[in-house]
Amino acid sequence: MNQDQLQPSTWEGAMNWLSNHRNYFIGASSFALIVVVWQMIAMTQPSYVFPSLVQVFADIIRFGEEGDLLKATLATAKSVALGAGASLLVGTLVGFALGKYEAFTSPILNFVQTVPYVVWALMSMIWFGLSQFAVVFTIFIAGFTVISFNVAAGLKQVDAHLLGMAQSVRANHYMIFRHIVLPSLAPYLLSAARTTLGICWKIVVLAELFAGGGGGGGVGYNLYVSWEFNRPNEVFAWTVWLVILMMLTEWMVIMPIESYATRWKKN
Amino acid sequence: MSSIAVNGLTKIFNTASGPLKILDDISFDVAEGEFVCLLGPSGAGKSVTLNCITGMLPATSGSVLVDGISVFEKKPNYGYVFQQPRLMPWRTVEENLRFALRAETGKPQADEDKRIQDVLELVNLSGYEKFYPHQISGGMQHRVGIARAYVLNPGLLMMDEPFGALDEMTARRLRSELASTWLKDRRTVVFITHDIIEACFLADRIVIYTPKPTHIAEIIEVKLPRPREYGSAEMHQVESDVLAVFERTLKDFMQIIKDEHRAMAAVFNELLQHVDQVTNGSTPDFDLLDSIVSYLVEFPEKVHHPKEDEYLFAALAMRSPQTHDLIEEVKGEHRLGHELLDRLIEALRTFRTSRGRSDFESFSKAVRAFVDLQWRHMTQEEQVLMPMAAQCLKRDDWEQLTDVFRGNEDPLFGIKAKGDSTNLRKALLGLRTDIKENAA
Repeated sequence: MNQDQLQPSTWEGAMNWLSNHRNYFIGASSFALIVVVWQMIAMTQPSYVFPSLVQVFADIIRFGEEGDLLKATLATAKSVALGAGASLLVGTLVGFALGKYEAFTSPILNFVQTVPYVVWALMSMIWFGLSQFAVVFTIFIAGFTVISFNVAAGLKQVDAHLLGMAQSVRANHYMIFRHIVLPSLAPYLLSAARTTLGICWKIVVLAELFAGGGGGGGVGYNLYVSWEFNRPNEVFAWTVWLVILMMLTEWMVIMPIESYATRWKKN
Repeated sequence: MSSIAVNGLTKIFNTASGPLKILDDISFDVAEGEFVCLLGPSGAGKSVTLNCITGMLPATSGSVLVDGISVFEKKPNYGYVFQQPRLMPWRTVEENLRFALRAETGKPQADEDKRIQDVLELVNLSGYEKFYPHQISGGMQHRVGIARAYVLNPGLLMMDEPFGALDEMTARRLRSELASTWLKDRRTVVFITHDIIEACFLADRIVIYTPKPTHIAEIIEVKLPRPREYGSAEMHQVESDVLAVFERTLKDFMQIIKDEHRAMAAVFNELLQHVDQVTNGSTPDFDLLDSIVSYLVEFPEKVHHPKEDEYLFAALAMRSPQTHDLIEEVKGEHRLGHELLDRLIEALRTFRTSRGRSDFESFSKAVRAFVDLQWRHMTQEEQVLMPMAAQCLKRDDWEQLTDVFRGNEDPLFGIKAKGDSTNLRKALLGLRTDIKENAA
C-alpha cells in the first residue's frame, strides 16, 4: 500500500467533513467560550456569589433525583405550551384585525403591550387567584401582541404581483388566503413564534413567582423558593436548567417547524 | 375561441389633479383565433384597454363585446400573461397550475391532472411538474405563466408585454415558442408591446396607439406567413410601415401642442389689451376675466406655457378690486412682470370700494400665501396640499388656508424641486369663485 496515496485522501476527507460541519464547531466553540468565562469568574468568587458549573450541574442532578426537576419541568412546560399556543391563535386573529382595522385595533394593542409584565402578573393573580390559569394568562398576554404586530407586518408584505395574478384567474377569497396569504405569512409567524416562546419562558418565571405553589410548582416557583431559602447556588441551577429547556424547545419544536415551512426552498 | 368588438371605448380616470382621459374613442375588432398586437409608447393606455376588455375596469363610455355579449353582463373566460411569470414560489409548477384551475371555486375540477399534463406538453415543459420555480430558469418560468393562461381553456388570451423584461435573445426564443404554441392550439390573442419588431413578428394585425389621450393611429395588417424571419425583406417592409405611422403621429402630436400654445398666446394678448383698456378708464369686464381664468386653469396638462401662472394670477387680481394694496405689497418681491403689475395697479387705483377691510385682509392673507409659494418649485408634498387649499377656499376657511401653506410653524417650501402647478390652478379656480361671490 502506498502511504503517500493513502494519507492525502484521508486528510482531504477529514478536512471536507470538518468544513461541511463547520457550523457545529462554531456553535460548540461558542459554548466552550461561555463555559470558560463562567469558570473563570466562578474561580475568583465565593460559591454563594457565583458557583462553578460543576456545582450547578450537581445541583441539577440532585433536583432530578429528588423528583423536583421533573415535576417542575412538566408544570412549567404545560404552562408555556398553553400560554404560547393561546398567544399564537389569538395573536394571529388579532393580527388580521390589526391589518384590516388598524385605527381601531392599534391603540388597544399598544395599551396591552405597554402595561408592564409585572402588572399583568399581579392582576392575573388578583383575578384568577393563585392558580396555573393565572400563570398561563400572564404569559398569553405577554406574548400575543408580538404575534399580532408581526402578522400585521407580514400582511402588508404579501406580494402584490401574486395578488394581481390571483385576480387574473378569478380566485376566490379562500384560495387567495390559503395559497398566497398564509404562505407569505409563514416566515413572519415563525419569527414571531420564536420571539414569543422566548418571552413565554422568561415571563413564566415571573408569573410563577406571584402565583406561588398554586401555579403548579414550576421552575420559576422553585427558583423563587431557592432565593427565599437563601440558596443562591440553587437559583443559578434552576436558571441554567431554564436556559436548557429554552434551547431544547428551540431545537425540538421551532426548528422542525421551520424546516417544514421552508422545505420548498431547498434544492 | 372568442371574438372581440371594441366600439368607441373611452376611459377617464378621476385623479387628485382632476379627470385624466387615457383612452379616447378606441374602436377595433378581433376575429376568432386572430393574433392582434396593441403597439404604442409607454403610458398610452394599452394595459387599460386590456383591462377594459376583460371587464376588470369599467369603461367610461363605449362598448366592449366578447362573442357579442357586453363584458359588463358576462365576464369573458380569459387567460392573462403578465410581464413577470408571477408564480407562487412555495408551490411546484403543477401546484401553480392546479391553483389556477381551482381558483374560482376552490374545489377540484374534472380532469385536473390531464389538463395540467396537456398544457405543460403544449409549452414543452413535460416532466417539470414537481419542480419549484426557483429550480427552473426564467424562460421556463415564463412558459409556465403561458401554460397557466392556457390551462383555463380560455376563449381569449391577454398578454401584457410578457417578454418586455427579457434580453433580446431569450425574448426571441420565447416569442418563437409562443408562436408555435399558438399555432398548435389557436386562441384569440391580444398582445401588448412597445417593441415594433416583436409586433411585426407575432401579429396578424397591429393596432398602433398614440400617446395620451390615446386614440388609434392606424391598424396595420401583417399578411406574412409563419414562421417569420427576423431581418427578412418582408419583415423590414412591415416594420417601416409601422415606423412611418409612429413618426406621423408624433408630428401631429407636436402640432397640437404648437396650436394650443398659439391659442394661449392669443389669450394672453387679450388679457393685456383689456388691462390697457382698464388703465385708460373702462370698467373691467368680469365675464371676460372669468373666461380667461377658466381657460388658463383648465388647460390640458401636457401644454404648459412658462408665463401661464403669472397671467392667471394677474387675471385673478384684476378680477377683484380689493387687491390693490396687496399688489403694492408684493410688487417688490414677486416675479410677476413688473410692467404688467404697474398697469394693474393703475387700473385698480380707480377701484377702491367701500367694502370692509376684514374681507380684504383675510383674502390678502390667503393670496399672500399663494404668492409666497414659488409655485414653480413646489415639491410633491406641496402639490398634494393644493386640493386641500382649494377646499379651504371653497369653505371660506381663510385661517386654515394660511395654515395649510404655512405648514404649522415650518414653512414647507424652500425646497427647490420640479413640479407642475396644476393643483395651484385648481385652487385658484376656487379662489376665483370666492372673489366672485365677494364682489357680487
